[in-house]
Amino acid sequence: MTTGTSQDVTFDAVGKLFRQGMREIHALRGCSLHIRPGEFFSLLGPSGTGKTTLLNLVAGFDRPDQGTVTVGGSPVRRPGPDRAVVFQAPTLYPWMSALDNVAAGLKHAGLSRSERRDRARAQLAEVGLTDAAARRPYQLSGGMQQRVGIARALAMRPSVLLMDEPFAALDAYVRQEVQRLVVALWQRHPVTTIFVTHSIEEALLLSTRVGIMSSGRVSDIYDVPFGYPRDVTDAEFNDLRREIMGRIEAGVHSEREASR
Amino acid sequence: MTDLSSPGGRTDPASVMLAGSGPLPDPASVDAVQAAMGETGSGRRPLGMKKLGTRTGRIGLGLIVPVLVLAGWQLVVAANLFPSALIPGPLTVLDTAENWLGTRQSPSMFYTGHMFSDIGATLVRVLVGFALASVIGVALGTAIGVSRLVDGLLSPLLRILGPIPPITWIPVAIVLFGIGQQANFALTFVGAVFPVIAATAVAVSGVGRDLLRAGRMMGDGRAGLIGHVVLPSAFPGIVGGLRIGLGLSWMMAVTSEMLAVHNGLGYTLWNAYNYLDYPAVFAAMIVTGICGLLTDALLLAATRPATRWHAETGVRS
Repeated sequence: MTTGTSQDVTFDAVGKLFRQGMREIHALRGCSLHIRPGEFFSLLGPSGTGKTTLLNLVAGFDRPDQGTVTVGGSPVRRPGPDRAVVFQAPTLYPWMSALDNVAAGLKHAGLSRSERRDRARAQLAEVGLTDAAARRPYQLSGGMQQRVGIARALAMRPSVLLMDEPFAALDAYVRQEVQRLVVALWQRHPVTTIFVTHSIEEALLLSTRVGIMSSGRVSDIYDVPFGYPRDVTDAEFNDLRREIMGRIEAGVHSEREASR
Repeated sequence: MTDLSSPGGRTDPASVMLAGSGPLPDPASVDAVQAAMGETGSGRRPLGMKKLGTRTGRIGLGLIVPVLVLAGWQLVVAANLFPSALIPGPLTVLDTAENWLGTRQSPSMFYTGHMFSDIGATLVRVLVGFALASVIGVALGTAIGVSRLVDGLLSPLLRILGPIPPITWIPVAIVLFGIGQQANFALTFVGAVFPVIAATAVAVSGVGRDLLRAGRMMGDGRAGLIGHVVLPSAFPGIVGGLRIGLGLSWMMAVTSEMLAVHNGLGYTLWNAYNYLDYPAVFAAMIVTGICGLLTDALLLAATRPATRWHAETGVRS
């Protein structure tokens, strides 16, 4: 329906180095990856393998030390509303209502004030928060706050949607609800989505492809051939889950061996 | 932080994701989530504290200790522990205050009927100096808070000037501006500006990185981030500095009036002291305190809409 605006994302031999005092940490090295327009791509892997770093480079929060990151063919220079981010913590403006938080993302979209509010109201309705529009973030539960964050990101009509472990802090029940919501929204508006998670099950529930990160690069990519909605008890689902788990464990093991 | 990025006119009405969005993805489950979450946040108060939520409840609570202090004061005076000529009781002070106000004309004193003109003269000095200190203090504090360069350039000087008692600026102000309003404005400004700068710099530098990233993601550049993210986020802390600054402006206005000018609360206080009129000295002190309380209450009321989110997420919520 709105795939016209979706863009592909390309990492070409990307390296990123962080300095902590005297220590140098290679968050990414020689990392290449192509994410197709309109696909739901999950980055999976243990902590410290560069998942969030990769996401921050697309968002423009950080710059690569080597290589290039391009969105729709043009290199990323700075953050911007064409690449919406759903943060790990909801990161809403606490002084604003839910509605104003969603409308805040449209400040630079060339819309009038009433157009911004109309679109924000419609977007809140789509994530099921019509009744919460006037409430401030601290008056909402964690799951509701994160849904406002999703509404804010989608209202911006981004060409890429970046989600950084957005449901890690939610309890299992609420987490299932928002996962279902994210799939429904993505099916209706298939925007290119990069989703960082350390849950194999979550990655397999949501994505069309899963990339496994290991020591600063994407080591394996799996197609997820199942239709939606997906069943976590399904045999094929669990076969794939087992295979990916084995691959991640092998990666962790070889990394330990290497650092020994 | 980066320069303003132009988001461009990407909005094609036909591509509006929501155009006539149908039913919710799963309305039943959404309701279930909300029901499971229950009502959070607002309206949650510790048991037995409900009465404190009302305005009269809070004012009543606030009056208990002052009334006890006044009663104790009257008891001490009535017991003749001190010579009554030196330490007047609250009732004597009240009589003098009525004389100052003009509702009681005898005995005729130099201050009879002058209370409002005295308050007005001091209030103008407070408000002008405080307004200048607010604008300049918030601007400098913000610059220090967001920029290491400005912090490195200005903070050493400010840390030298900060501990100098504001009253020591009185000779300097008189030398620079002569005896007159300008000197008074300069002094109330000097009293208020340092705490405003310090509180603003601390509050601004404490604004979270993720909130700034959210602002940048939505297309804000440096100026937009300061206006849309940094200042609203730091505002509760800035208000703390403004309140301290306002109190210090009152101190500086009254103190400078004791030395340098011929009207205002401080002038009446010092003149009364020279006439050995101790009840008037106490009356001037108490009126100054009440004026400070009222301006503080006004400042709080004016800033409350922008600080409520912070107050309601604090320990007392």
